[in-house]
Amino acid sequence: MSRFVLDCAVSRPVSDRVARWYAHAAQQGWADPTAGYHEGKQASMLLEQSAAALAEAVGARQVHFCPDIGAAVAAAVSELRSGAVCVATTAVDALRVIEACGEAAAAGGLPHHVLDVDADGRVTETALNDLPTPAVLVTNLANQEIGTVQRDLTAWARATGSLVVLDASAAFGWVDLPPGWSRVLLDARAWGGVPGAVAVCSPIPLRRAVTANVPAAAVAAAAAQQWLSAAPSARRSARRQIAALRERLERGIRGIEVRGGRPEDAPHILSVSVLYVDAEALQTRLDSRGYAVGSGSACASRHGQPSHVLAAVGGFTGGNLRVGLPPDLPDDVVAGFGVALVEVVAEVRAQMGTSDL
Amino acid sequence: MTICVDARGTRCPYPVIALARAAADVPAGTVIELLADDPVSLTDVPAWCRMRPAELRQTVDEDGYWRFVVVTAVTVVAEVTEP
Repeated sequence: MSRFVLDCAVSRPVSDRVARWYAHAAQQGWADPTAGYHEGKQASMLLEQSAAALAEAVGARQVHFCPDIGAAVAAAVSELRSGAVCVATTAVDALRVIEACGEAAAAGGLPHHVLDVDADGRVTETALNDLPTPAVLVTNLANQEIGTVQRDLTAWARATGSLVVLDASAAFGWVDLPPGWSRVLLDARAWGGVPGAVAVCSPIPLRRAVTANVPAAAVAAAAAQQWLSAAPSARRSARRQIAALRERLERGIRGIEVRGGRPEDAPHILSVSVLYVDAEALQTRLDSRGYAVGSGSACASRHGQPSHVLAAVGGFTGGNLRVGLPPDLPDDVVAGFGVALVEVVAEVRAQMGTSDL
Repeated sequence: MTICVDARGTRCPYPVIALARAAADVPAGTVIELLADDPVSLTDVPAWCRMRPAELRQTVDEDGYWRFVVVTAVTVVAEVTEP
């Protein structure tokens, strides 16, 4: 049976090609890149080449790799906080980003604010107006769960002297970067890089301590270049596939709430909440049919908490499935998934005795 | 008319299922009091009322559980085409 991973908003499967590059990078880049002998210099060179290539792809002056998103947030905020009166995130950012912002704010003796969002997941005008400024605002560009693209913050940042850090991991290649950012954070997992490389991109060159996982960082740029060359056609096919899927589900399932798939959203993300079903049962049945999908429901989560993103936008968190399409999926696979989901919902409702509701 | 539904001790998705079951065959304007101790209900009961639609008149924090006062309304269900 074929398997299809449709949970690619945060991390994508590593291709054979990237895995081969990584094996090579592990042998060439095992040494401490600050060591003053040949092997150390070789590791350092791998790191620098990857950073320079990614900087060019993003349109940044410098790229620095961190081993995880928390370290990347800490690096960005500590570089930018000196003129700020507070650090802010939005209620729909990744939990690790919110947490790391709190820690980075505290380390600089600054308050941390979590800004309210509207029903679409965009930071509200009121929240921005009420925020003490100048601030360092860390926010995702495209939401990894519901596909919402953040409002344009350029004018606000310019008017208040605030600095914007964009977590563009889920958006990279799918949504154009807006101008005016102070840092862009990119997790290489989002484009099929190896876990352990999060890029902090700057518009100005800076001196920084080396903290990178060299082999993961070394293949991040090549994986990104590979993805970016496929991205323009992937955007078009994902938008078409998500629109058809949304239409199929809304037509075939009574009592559902769908987020994502509008022209203003990231093209590849859809969140579906289905009334009167157990999300874990949906996920398990789809998995056994060969489809891997995520869920934001409490019953399907390891920590027993529903998605903080759905809660923040007032969404229904029960029976939730998250779809993040990979590039290059044939239309009939996504259509087949839509048919399978409609069938699985009917099966689970019949089993739970909720078909009549 | 007021109906009381005690869904304490059950977890998502059962409190909302109990609420929907109670709301299924009653006239518009019926008051349903749902008792639930699953914290997910704080998110999902208001969302269910918005989707249905029904009116969430009150959420009362009782000792160790919540009491949701819901008023049913006329529901408009779209025609479903079978696959």
